Amino acid sequence: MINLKIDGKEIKAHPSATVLEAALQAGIYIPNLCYHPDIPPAGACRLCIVSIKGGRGVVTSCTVKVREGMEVTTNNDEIRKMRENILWLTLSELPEDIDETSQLYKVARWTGIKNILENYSRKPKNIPVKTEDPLFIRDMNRCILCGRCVRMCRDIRKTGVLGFSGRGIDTTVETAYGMPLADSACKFCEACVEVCPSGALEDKRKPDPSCREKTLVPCTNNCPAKIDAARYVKLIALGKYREALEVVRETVPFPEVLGHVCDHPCEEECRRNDINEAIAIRSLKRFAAEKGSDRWRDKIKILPDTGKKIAVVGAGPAGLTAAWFLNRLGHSVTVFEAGSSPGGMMRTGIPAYRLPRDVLDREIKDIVSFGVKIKTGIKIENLEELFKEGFSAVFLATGASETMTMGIEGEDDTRVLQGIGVLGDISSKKDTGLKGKVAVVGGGNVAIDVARSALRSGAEKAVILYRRTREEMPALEEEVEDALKEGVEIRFLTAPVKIASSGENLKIECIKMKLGKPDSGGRRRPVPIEGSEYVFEADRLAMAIGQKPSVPGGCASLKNDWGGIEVDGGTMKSSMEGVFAGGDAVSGPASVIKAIRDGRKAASSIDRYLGGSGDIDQKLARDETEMPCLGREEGFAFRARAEMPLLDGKKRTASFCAVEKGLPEKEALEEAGRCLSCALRLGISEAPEPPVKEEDSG
Amino acid sequence: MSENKKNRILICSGTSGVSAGCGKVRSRFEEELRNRGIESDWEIVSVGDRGLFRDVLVDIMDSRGRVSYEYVSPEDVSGIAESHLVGGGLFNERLAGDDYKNFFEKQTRIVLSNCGEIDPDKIDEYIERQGYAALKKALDSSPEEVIEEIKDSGLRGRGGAGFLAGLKWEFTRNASGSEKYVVCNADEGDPGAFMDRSILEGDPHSVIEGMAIAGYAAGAGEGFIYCRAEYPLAIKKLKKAISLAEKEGFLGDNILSSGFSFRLNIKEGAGAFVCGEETALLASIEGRRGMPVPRPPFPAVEGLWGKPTLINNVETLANVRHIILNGAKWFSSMGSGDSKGTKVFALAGKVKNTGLVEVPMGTTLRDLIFGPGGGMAERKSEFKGVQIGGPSGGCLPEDLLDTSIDYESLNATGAIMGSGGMIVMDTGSCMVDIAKFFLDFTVAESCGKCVPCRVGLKRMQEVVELITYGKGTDSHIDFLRDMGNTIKNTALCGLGNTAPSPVLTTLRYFDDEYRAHIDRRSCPSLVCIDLLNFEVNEELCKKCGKCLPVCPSDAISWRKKEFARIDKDKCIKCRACIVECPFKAIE
Repeated sequence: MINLKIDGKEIKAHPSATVLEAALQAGIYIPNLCYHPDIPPAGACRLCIVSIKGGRGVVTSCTVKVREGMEVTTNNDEIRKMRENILWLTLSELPEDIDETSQLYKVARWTGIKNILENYSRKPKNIPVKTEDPLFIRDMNRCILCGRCVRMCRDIRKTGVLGFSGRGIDTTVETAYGMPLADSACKFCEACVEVCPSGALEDKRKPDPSCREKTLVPCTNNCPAKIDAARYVKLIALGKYREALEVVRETVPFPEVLGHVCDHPCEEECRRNDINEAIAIRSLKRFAAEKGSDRWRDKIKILPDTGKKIAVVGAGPAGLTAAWFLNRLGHSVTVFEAGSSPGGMMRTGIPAYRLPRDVLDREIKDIVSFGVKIKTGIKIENLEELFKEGFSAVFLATGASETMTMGIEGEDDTRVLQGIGVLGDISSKKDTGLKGKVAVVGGGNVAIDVARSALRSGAEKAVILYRRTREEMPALEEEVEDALKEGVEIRFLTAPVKIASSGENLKIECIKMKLGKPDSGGRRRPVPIEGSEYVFEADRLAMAIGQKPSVPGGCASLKNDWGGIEVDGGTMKSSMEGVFAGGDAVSGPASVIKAIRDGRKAASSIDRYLGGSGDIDQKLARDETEMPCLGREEGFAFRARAEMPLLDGKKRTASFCAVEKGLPEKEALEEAGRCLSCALRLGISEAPEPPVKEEDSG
Repeated sequence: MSENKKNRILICSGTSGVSAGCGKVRSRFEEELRNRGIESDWEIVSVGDRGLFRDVLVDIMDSRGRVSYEYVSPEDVSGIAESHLVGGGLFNERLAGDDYKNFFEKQTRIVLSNCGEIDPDKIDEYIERQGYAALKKALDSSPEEVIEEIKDSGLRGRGGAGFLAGLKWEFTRNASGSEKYVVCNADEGDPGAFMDRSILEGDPHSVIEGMAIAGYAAGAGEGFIYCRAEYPLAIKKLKKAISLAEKEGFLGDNILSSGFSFRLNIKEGAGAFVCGEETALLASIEGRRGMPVPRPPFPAVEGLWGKPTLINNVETLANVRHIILNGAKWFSSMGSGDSKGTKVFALAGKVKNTGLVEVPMGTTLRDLIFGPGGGMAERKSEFKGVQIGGPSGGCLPEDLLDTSIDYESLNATGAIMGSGGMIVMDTGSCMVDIAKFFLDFTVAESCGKCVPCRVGLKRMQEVVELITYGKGTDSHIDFLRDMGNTIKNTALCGLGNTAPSPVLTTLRYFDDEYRAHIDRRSCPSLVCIDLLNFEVNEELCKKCGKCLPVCPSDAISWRKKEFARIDKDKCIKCRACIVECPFKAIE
């Protein structure tokens, strides 16, 4: 260590430290703008001038290394005067309205803004603000040319996109030849934005300071279960498939199922959407699940037996997830399933061409292999009995499989089927009675699944009747696309009003609709067009207009007005002591990942209820030390999203074989390499800000 | 006469010679020799510029001795051939006059000794004048002995800052690392300065030899000459000289069987003034934007591509061979105090003889300007000030003319030695306007990296401009002093540190002129156009009306037998009438 004196204070500093770093560390603030702890110094802003005993004049403390016995003065009249002058010069080029949260503003306040030249008025530079690039804007009128962005981009990220253009007073930060960022090999890591002290570089979507991750790493933070997508995509890019799978496994027990069927909210918010297309995160998860090894099994630590018994009602994604985590925490968990096999909607609602049954079976088997007991064919109606049997807590995850009806004339015809029932029948290989021309009412995933399944079960034609347009369809975009490719016909703005039987056929009277004003959910409400009725003939009609929660008979008191189980959103506690609930039974039909989220929440809450810490997670993959260097790659912004190889169109409807074949390794690696590495930005240190002056804090 | 092959016709063919038409003069001479059948008797030699502007200079050397002709045009050539080459007499019309003799006799030409004397494309001529003898001598000594000799000589960097060259060499030698470089800073950017260019054009081998010796002493195996692309002739001469030196074994592997190898490259700069700053220069050689970086680390420790690098200016390197050959004692016997040897200045402005002047350190400004410079250009013009050191230097008044030309004395005045720019001004120059001129230059040439230089100079320029517009206030003077000092103390590199000097020195020595602009809204030198009113002095006006047709803005009204009148609202102050008036009646 080096001993030196700063403003009379004896301090010790590392030999590699600069005077500025030593001072900051010792709690002595020296104003600075071009300094940043993660970037090599430049000595550009000249604010951090100090004088050193025995030296001539002043030097910038950010560029001078500490020396033994050095005596530094950071503030005297002369230095203060020069600093004020330099600050005035810096501000003399800027607009009046400086962002008050910016480092520049705070440094200016601390240093003291004085008018040095009478009658001087700031001259607007009138440089056009660059807003046409994705993700962030560049307003060179606000730039103080500290060069932090340039050095970050050139020296740390080594992407070399930003540089200085022009010279002297006309210097600006620019790309080569002023080309758009995408054409300049920008990797959109936004480290430049992160280190900009003046607000010249700004996010288009400004992060909420209280939770910056939500906006800045949206994949992970928009996942209902908070699977660290950013991390496992990065690991895949590095070829570390095993670690990638472990990362997913840290949060969910269904990596491969999700890899097939997740509705991927992560992708909806992926920042790469703003450039071209989102990262195919779901496909990458499936890839990791398929390619990652089984090492995670050896790493799973089942905690010592707590002696507590927990009953889970319903072996769907919510129930099994809760069971998995509670079991790991040392509780004894029994899952009661009314059906003949576990899986819930994953088995009865999702057709095998989307989720191969061996995948589902395998992941359920994994859960069982660690100690979870699953009892099928047992329908729980009375919770009191469970408590009497010695269960200390109950988690209700009974799903939502009650089909809703339209309440129109002729709906009780035997040829009018329940959509979700049809899917269940197909899954358990029962006869569905689907034949000829099959009409399906609805616009959600179930409607699509029924139509596509019908084509695979011997129907000649499948027609979906939907009362809104494609834009409002709740079904996943890619599912709709696949259905259309397979020959499913969709009639939009059409709703059945009456079903009549005429011998072999069903005569479905339909009415045409138009879109009216948006409803509470923001979707435009369909309005019937009077006199537009027409008749549509079909052999079968399947209703897929939604399901209601299935709540055990003995739990009627737990239900709310619309039939779901009422719980506290944070703890999943119901109104009955010891009873927790989650999944579709609470929310109505949702998604696998949301059910898993509920299962996780419930597991944590139940553990706490039973006296545990509620900490359900176990770290499986070691944290990577991420390299701050990204390197330069021409055309990075234009790399297209990997296309999932699909089963040949004609072959598809011949069987229930999986339509998606999974990404080959080369494509998966490339796809993971498209990731913007948004999380890297969060690892950038904070620039030192001036201490809050008393007058300000008061 | 015809038996003597040594008869030489020297034609100054450097850049100034070229612009004056030396090519035509040369071909006229060839023609004359051919037509007269005497081409075998005479050798025409294209030499570098001698440093005096007299259009084309031609020297004729034969058994009778040496005769100089000045202002030689192609039309004069047949006359010279007739009377001098054939007739054995002189061509009196173009004989160099007293000013010419005065200019050269009052100099001590060491660095410039070969300029205008030898053909730079012929290495033999250089070798005949002891060329590469210093390199031989150096290679026979140890590098440490060479460094000691340079240190003892007291040679200081001629690029501006005046750092002891020998120390720099020693630092580079002692820096750790096996790979080291020598860089010659030939990025001469001061307006009006052309010392380096003339040396490179007229005596390129002296620089090459200096670099090779420096390389040997510092332990470098490779060198770069960073020369601005605006010096195409210098680059051409350098390239030729390097290839000749390689052929003769003065460059390349195992030089003169000493085991020492040294390669030389030329890097052309794109003409940014700041690239004369050594760290920006190195960045430019590396292919990066020419922006200075803070020192330390100094280039001697961490320079080109992070390797120890010795950077010297052209004139510094051109001195080396003379020191090695004649010894440190000889060199340090010239000069005064801590400033040894000679210094070349590019004398310009309102002096009689403009050109390159080499004088011993310690000569006074007066002795230079009124010695080789020949005094003021016009008899009636009066000396007002001299700008030394280009845009980084200062402007000194008449009462400082006896200042000795050495680093310390000049620094004490607020000016600097600089690289050798020297502009003499008479009473027709407005000092506020001069300050503005240099600020315009530095504002345009600031690299933009640090705030004081980028923004500070601009703000100062705006204020000085206001003063020249007659909109100055007392607080402007305070602002200029205050901001000037801040920039001087806080700018990142030498460009910024010295850029306020023209303003600060004019404020110091010509305060009354600023006061006149501010208090009386007048420009005593009648330069600042916004402060001038054009009026007809009716006592002098002869009512001739010559001013009327030359006025481009119809501001002049005149009728026969009446005084001319100028409409102030229409006058655009173009001065056409002043130039036209035979009676100097317009003021």
